[in-house]
Amino acid sequence: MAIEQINGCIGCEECIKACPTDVIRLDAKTKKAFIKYVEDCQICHLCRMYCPVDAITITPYKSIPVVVSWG
Amino acid sequence: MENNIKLKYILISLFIFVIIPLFILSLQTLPPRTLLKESTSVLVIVGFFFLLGQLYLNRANKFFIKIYKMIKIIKLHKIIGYAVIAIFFIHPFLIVLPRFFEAGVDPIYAFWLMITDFKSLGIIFGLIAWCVMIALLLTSFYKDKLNMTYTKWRVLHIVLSVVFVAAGLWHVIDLGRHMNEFMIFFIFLLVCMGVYLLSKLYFFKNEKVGKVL
Repeated sequence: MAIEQINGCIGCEECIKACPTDVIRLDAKTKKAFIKYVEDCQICHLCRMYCPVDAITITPYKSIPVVVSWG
Repeated sequence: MENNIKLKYILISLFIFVIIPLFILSLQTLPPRTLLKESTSVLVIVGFFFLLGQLYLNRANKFFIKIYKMIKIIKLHKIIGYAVIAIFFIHPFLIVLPRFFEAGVDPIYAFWLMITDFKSLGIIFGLIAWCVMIALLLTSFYKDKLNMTYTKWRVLHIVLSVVFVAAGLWHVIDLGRHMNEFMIFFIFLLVCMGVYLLSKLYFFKNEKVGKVL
């Protein structure tokens, strides 16, 4: 996992526009962003950097271990 | 002996308005953030609970009037009021403050985006609360310059306070990062009790509490 939580979203949609892999979507009912496809997150931090109210938390840990090729 | 009782009530007040909120806060499993962000969050949360405490620091509070002199309660009410207003005055700017030290969106643009995002009810109520708070500040600071009797001013002050608390309550529940069921329940409990205490002054005037002072 990469993007972990969205707390205090104001629904400005900046993170949705910024995400290159469409991880975040806007909940039509609450008008707030939510994490839809967490497995697609590439930990680019763009959503976090574009969020005006600092609502997005990105975990420093990766769920997928780094694969090292040994030739 | 009297000092001990006074100290006891101060400690109980601090326990209710500082320790319990911070305890509920500590129970949450939110991802850790920088010291600056956590400090500003704690400052605003404690400020908010002190603000709720203002509902109890008035002539409607029979217990306090018995122990402390009314003039001392009003003095404390004023000091806390101005201190809390100072915190909430800078609260919108504190949100974008970490942006000055991080990569990403420009802090001024972030601030503009935040205050002009009228899609969020939380933001709209936050802006209403902020404006009402400024009205509260001005009407309190220039109380003597207003052409109003003290009784009328007091009604105005209560009405503005209740509007401020109601709008602020919506704002914190909708957007507050540290809100959970316990925190919401605790806030509602404090607000309901405080508003009930205040309403006793005006809607139940036959009771003795209305005749204090």
